[in-house]
Order: sequence, then structure tokens, then C-alpha cells
Amino acid sequence: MRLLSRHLAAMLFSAAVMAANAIATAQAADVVIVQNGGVTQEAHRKAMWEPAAKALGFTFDEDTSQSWTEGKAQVDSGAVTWDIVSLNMGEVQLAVKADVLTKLPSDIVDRSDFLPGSVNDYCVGNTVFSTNIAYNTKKFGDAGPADFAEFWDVKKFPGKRAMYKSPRGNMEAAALALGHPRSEIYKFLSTEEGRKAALDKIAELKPYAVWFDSGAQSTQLVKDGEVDMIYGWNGRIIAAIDAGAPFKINYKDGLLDVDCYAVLKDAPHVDNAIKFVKEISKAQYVKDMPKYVAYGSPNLKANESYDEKTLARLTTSPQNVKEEYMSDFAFWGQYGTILSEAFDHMLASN
Amino acid sequence: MSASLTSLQARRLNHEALRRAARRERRGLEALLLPGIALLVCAVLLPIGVMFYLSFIGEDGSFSLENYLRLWTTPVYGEVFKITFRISFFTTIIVAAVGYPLAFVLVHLPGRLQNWALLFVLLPFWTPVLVRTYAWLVLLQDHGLINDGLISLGLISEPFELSHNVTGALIGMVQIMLPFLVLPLFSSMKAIDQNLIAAASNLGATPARAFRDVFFPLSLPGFLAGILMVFVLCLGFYVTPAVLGGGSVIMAAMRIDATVRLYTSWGAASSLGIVLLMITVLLILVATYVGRRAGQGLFR
Amino acid sequence: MELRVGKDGVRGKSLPITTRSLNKAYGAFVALKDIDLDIKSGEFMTLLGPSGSGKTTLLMVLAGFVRPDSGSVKFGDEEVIAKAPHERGIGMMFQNYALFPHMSVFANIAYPLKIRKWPKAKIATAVDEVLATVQLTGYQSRRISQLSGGQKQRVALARAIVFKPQILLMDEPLSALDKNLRETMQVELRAMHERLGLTTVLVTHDQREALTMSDRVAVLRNGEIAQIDSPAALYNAPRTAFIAEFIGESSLLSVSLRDGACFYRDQPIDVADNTGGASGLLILRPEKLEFDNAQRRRPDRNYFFGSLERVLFQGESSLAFVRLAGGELVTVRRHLNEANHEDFPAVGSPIVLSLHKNESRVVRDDRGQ
Repeated sequence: MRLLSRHLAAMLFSAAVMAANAIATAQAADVVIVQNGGVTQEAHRKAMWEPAAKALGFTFDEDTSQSWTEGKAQVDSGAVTWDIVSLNMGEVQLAVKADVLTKLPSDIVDRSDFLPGSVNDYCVGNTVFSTNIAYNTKKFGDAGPADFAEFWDVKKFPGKRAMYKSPRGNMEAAALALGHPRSEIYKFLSTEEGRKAALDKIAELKPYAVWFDSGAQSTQLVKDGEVDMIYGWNGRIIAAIDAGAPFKINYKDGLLDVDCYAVLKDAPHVDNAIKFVKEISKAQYVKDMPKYVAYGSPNLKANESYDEKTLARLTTSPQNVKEEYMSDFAFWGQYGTILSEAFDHMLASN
Repeated sequence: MSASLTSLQARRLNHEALRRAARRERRGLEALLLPGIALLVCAVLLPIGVMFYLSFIGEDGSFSLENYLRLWTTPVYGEVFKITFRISFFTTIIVAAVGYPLAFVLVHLPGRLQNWALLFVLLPFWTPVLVRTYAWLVLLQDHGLINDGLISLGLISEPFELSHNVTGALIGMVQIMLPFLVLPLFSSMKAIDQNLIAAASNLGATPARAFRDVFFPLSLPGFLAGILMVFVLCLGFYVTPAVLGGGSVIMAAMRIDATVRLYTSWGAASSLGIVLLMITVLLILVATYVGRRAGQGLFR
Repeated sequence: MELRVGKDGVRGKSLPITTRSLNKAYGAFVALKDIDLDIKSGEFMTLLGPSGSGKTTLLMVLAGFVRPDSGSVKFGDEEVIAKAPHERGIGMMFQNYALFPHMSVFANIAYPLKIRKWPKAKIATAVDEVLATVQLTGYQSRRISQLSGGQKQRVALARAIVFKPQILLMDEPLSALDKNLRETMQVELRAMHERLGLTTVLVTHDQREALTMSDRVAVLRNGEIAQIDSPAALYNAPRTAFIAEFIGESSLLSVSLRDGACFYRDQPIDVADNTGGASGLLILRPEKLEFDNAQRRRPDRNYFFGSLERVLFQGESSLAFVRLAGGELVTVRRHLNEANHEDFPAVGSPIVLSLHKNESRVVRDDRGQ
């Protein structure tokens, strides 16, 4: 049955894959790497891919993808043209369950160099980002919401709040707002009552919230002054600040999250791909990433080479990271789906 | 051999050659259909068939009704369908209410002016939906052109909530959908013989009566086609309600996208697609039936 | 107001139409220039003219669809110039019929009655009656698309007269029909007119149709009425070269006036009528010219000399082209019968043509205007 369904999926997606026709070029290059486009992809190419390929004597091709399911479609259809894909650590468990990733050798990187939780058997972290509170300094000065209890306090801090239209991050924030310490969040959310309480807490903010769907949208909301505060991604907020928005990020209780490189199952160049992931994860390359984008690598060895100014912008800098906590990917692997449904239901119902 | 043909032979003279010629001509026409049929099969029927099949495959890869059961038992899906149809319904109503007078004015403009006006109606067609959506944001948001303008004029002190809610989604969708109604309606109106209106008024009908009895019924086929097209297109909308709706407007397409990312099997999202498709097809059938009944009513 | 009773008992009231000083211009183009027209009650008046002559504009002014710049239109004693089309209560047949495609034959014909709020039973009776009049009994529930051209024509007529209007306007009503059907319908419409006695105004560009159907014909040209007369008078005594050429066939010969006498080149011509002034045109109708004999001259005829260039066989008649000595080409129609069937002279032979003095009319040359 499984095989049959794969066959049908193959029929469904092969047309699209053919159209994209990376096959010819895939054969020509030593490795094909995929990122989610935009500034991030450009930063990765300049900082890591190009110098690493030169060091290995490789040629590489690149492509752009917005969803891990595109890689899944390739594997299911048996027409894999990509080798390395970038996906969110929270999606890795789903991807492993769907059997679309190649298991990586245990020595691919030294896990002790990396932020805890940012490397596993299938994936090596490439970017750390965090979800943080940020607020309009014109309206609140330097005394914006100090923690999530205050972010929820619409009397003390009136105004609109931009929030990601997803349970991820918001559930944790609600747990913090309910008074649970960082270390207790996932224990609390692992109970039925905890999840319900958190969703109800989020629902309290519905009249004050503007829900964004994409990073670009969150930048726009901050830049245009449409919201007075945001619980959003640090790099996107910094982009707005760089464009002149009077906003300040509060790193306290920020939620760390990781995007990582994985190798697709049945990829055309599995061996090269593993070699390439190993090379581009080295500190000597990833240290250059902040030159191009306000994100850093989970390879903390890179921190040694940064100056004060760079460190202030990075969520991985020692002073910022000590107030933050890592997303529990196992939790999201288990509850992500039903929470997404419950979250949308909470939004949709009056 | 006799020089003259018998009557039987005469009737068969070149009969086969003529039949072959007719067949050749027919085959040629049929061959022209092939690319269309091939495209229809490959791009429409086959994927829908595959999607239908996949919708019965559960997370563990075996045949299962779990995907449909989930749609039934998880409250969010019912809510999302309700929102999708409600938003599509209101968008269609507004588009119809705005589009009909617009098409009416267009069709009565003198030739040159009409071409220019049509160009302006079509202009948005050539701009990507995403660009138009963000352009609306520039106008509608709290610190957008409209609100800033009204505030600086002292007309209002607090901004109107025009974006990040249902209002914003409706405004954006109406503007994007308008040409889809206006174009079929315009060509339907354009085809109406002006002499018919003249005849009605000659027979004693006031302009309003002539419109009601003659112009409107004759414009109805294009109007209904436009309405149906707008409604069906609305059902699949994603970007505009996502950006201008500010989160509370959750359309089926957004839920399908989320479902593709959240489930390891394609079945979960496929079942959503199939249900949306079924409801849409059902609606089209009902609309066509009602439309035909209404049409027959006109011939009394 | 005149009251008539048709021979089969259909009562028809009708009204005279009077227009005064009607003017209409579209920018620099003058469509109507000071039109004064008196149409008698029950009269069949045809507006004839080439395209752009103003005939359709004039009809549309009568119907109320075109608002003139100035002037007066009276139906009977009532000034209607400012009235909207739906207030004028006149019947009209449109080009291409203008039947409502979404309504049945019955609904089309009943439409003016429904607007006038007739009771249902009375409407049904009236529609049955008028369908009988146009010989379409039993067609009530047909759809318009199921009708032939001639049937559509009859439905259009039925719809135009069912509400007993006192005036009927027709805008090239037969132009969409083929030749045979058109001729049949011409006779039928004329007969219908005689029965109903409606004041009728027909617009056409077909001069034969105008001659066949009308009591009087107004020939329009450049927004003005060039001549208004009975068909016979119009044909036999055209007032200008334009009319002579537009109505029927004719060859025109330049003539000059010297000392009160008329000359074709140096040959004196006896004319019945001269409105041409110093230099005019002599009208030669093809059927009025005769092949003649120079030896037996008759005093009441004018003679012309030339040679036969070509003969066209046209069924009931033949058309001969004769090149006159002066170089002009004239046509001569000769009706064929047993006696003269094959007695045309050979092509190239010298020919003598004659025209009766009473048929010799000289008109002003206004063709270039």
C-alpha cells in the first residue's frame, strides 16, 4: 500500500519536478543545496557555500524552497534532484517519520561546539534565530514590556501586538505569561489542561493582535509602525530597526530555534552532500554569516571572532543567549499538528 | 465496358473518395482537440484522481478514513470552511453590487473612452496579486494613506480599522475579483442589441422598465457566469486574506498549506482539497440548475 | 382625426404627422435641414434616400430616439417634440426585427399590452387576434430563435400594431429578408396598411420598395427633402437629375437652351417640360426609348442616332447599349415577346432611337452637389 501510494505521488509530482528540471544541472554539479531564498540564502552562499566549495574543489548548484514538503515530494516521487535541504529543527521529527532524510555520520561535527539541541542524527544546525518581544521606543521609551506577563498586560501597555499566526512560540509565551518559569514551560504544556490554559491565554490577546504569516510581513508591520510591540523573529525585527523603525528587542525569555541542513534520502550525491555539510558547518566559514544577515550559526566557536557590535545583534551572543531557552523540538514533533488545528480554531471562532 | 455508367454505379461515383475526404477532415479537427484533452487529463483529471486516492491513505500508509473523520471531528475544519464560504459569499455579493453598475456604465461609454476605461479595469490584472495586496496595505493600514490623510485633516482622531480584519480582506479581494465579474458581464452586455431597448421604450416601457424587462434578463447569463467565477476563485484565495485579514480570516487554502506541512502523509491535505472541491462542484451544479430554471422562467 | 373601418372590420384610428423646421446636426455634419413634412392621416409615406441622406434620422426623430436641435413634430394637433419614446404611443418595426430573444412570441406581442396594464384575458384575446391577422395562429409559445425570417417579420408587425397605435413607423423592416420573401412581404404590408388604415412612415434605401408600397415618397438628400410626390409622379416627372438617377434607370444627355429652344448638340429637341435652365439634362428612360426607322419619322418624337454596342439578355427583357454619335452611351430596354424575340440588329449596326415628346423632360443637373 505504501509503495502504491508512493507511485501515485510520483505521478502527481513528477510533472512539476520535470518542469523545474534541475536534473540536467544536478548531474553537472557535485552537490545541490537548497535554502529558503532571499537574504538568508545569499548570506549562506557568500559566507559558507562558495569558500567551502572552493576548499573542497566542488561545484555546487542551488535552488530555493519554502517548505520541507517539497523535498518530501521529491523523495516520494523517486525523482530526487536535491541533495541538501534546509529545514526547521521542529520539522525534522516529521521528516524522519516520513522517511525522507539520510542518517548522518556521528562525527560530522563536534556536537560540543554547538548550541545544545542544534545537532542530531539527521540534521546539523545552520542558523539560530529567536522569537523575542520588541517594542516601540517612541511610545514606551526603554520601559517596554519586560516579560510576558507585561506583554499580556493591555492596560499597562496598550496598543497592537504583532504575533506569529502559529502556536509555535505563542504557546510558550502564554505559559510564561501564566507564571511558569522557563524550565517548566514544556512540562506545563505537556498536560491537556496546560495546553488549554495557554490557548485561552492567547485568546485574551485576540482583540489586540495582528497575526503575521511570514517574516516579510512582520518586518513590514514593525517598519510601518502598524504595531506597538511584536513577539517575532529577531532577524526580521533587526531588519526593520535597520530600516529606521524605533524598536528595541528584549531578549529576556526569548525562544531559541534552529534551522538545519539535512540530506535527502536517495539524493543523487549523498557522499558529497555529507562532505559539504561537514565543511560548511565549520566555524571558519559560519563566522562570516553576520556580515550579511542578522543571524548567527549555532556553532558557538564562531562567537570568539565577533566584536561588541556584532555580538549585540546576535541572539547567540553570550549575554543574549543566557536569558533565552531552546525550543523543545520533541514537544513540537508530538503536539505540533493538533496544536496548529486548535490554534486556528481558537482564531477562527468568536 | 459500356461508356455510360449504370444508375447504381453512378450513385457510387467517387463515393469512397468523398467519404475518405470527409473522414480526413474530421480527423484533422479531432487532432486539434488532442493537446487540450491531454492537458486536461494530465493537469486536471489525473491529479484530482491521485488526490482522491491519497485522501484515503492514513498516516501509517494504509487505507483509512481517518483523514475524513478528522475533518469531521476536529472543530477547526468546520470553522475554516464556514469562514471560507462566508468571506467568498460576501466578496461575491459586493463584487456583483459594484461590478454590475460598473459594467453598465462601461458598455454605454462612447468607443474611445470605453477602450481607455476597459484598460483601467484590466490594469490590475497585469499586476501580481501580492503587489496589489501590499499596495492596499499602504492605503488601508492604521498609519496608511487613508487614515493618515483623514487624521491630518482633523476628520477623525483614531484610525479606522480598515486592515488586519475582515474589512481589509474584503476590500482587497473585491478589488482583485472585480475584473473577473466585469469582463464576462461587459461582453454579455455588449452583445445586447441596443435596438431591443429602443423597441421596449417604443412599446411604452419607461427606461427603468426596459432595463428590468429586457436589458437585465439579457445580461443575466454573463452576470451569473461572472458571479460563479468570482465565488469559486474566492474559495481558493490565500495571499490577500492572509495579508489584509490579519490572522482572523483563515481560508481553506491556508489550512491546506498548514496541513501539508504538519502531516507526514499527503492524505490529510488531500482530503481537505477533495472536500473543498466537492462542495464547490455541488455549488456549481446547484447554481447552474437554479440559473437554468430562472432562465426558463424568462421564456414564459 | 380620421376614422376608418377596414373591410374585414378591423377599426383603425390614425393621426396626421406634421413636422416644421426640423434641424439636427452632428458636429459639422448636418443630418436634417429645415424639414417640413405633412403626412396625411392614413397615408403610407416612404422616406427614401441614399445612406447619410437623413431619412433614418428623420424617422428616429418621429419615434423620439433622436432629439433634434430645433423644430416641431405634431401628431394630430399634439406637439410631441419633447416627449420621450415611451410616451409617444406609436408602433414601430425595427431593422432586424428587434424581437426580445428571451421572450416567447406571445410574450413579445403581449409586452406593450402588459405595460398598458391590460387584463390578462383581454391580452390573450388581442394576441390571438393579431396573430391571426399576420397569419401566425398557433405560434404563441414559440421561441423567437425557432422562427424563420418571414415569421419574425410578422411577429414584429404584430407587436407593433397590437396596442392599436395610430401611427406606424418602419425602419428598413425588410432589408434582412431575401428577395422573394421581401417582395411577398411588401405586398402583404401594403395590404395590411390598407386594411388597418394606419398612418405609416417607412424608411428604405430600396427605390423599388418605395415605389411598390407608398402613397407618397419623400426623397431625401443631404438632410433635405429633394422631392416629395406619388410614386408615378416621381418616376415620370423627376424634378432633378439626382431624382431621375435615383428612381429607376435613366441615361442623361446634356442639352442647351438657345433662343427659347432646346438643343442636343445642334439638334433641336421638343420637350414637354424644362426645369433645367440654360443647360440641363434630358432624361432618357430605357423602356421609353424605341428602336425606330429614320425613313418614317413621326412628328411627335425626338430622334437620336448611334450604333449598337452590346445586348444583355435579362429574361423578360433585353438591355441594349447604344453609343450615340456624340459619344454618350444610352441604354434601351426592350421587352421580349414572340414578335421581336430575335430581331436585334447585329452589334455595330447603326441604330435610330426615338422618344415621345411628352416623355422628353429636361431637368437641372444637381448630381455633383
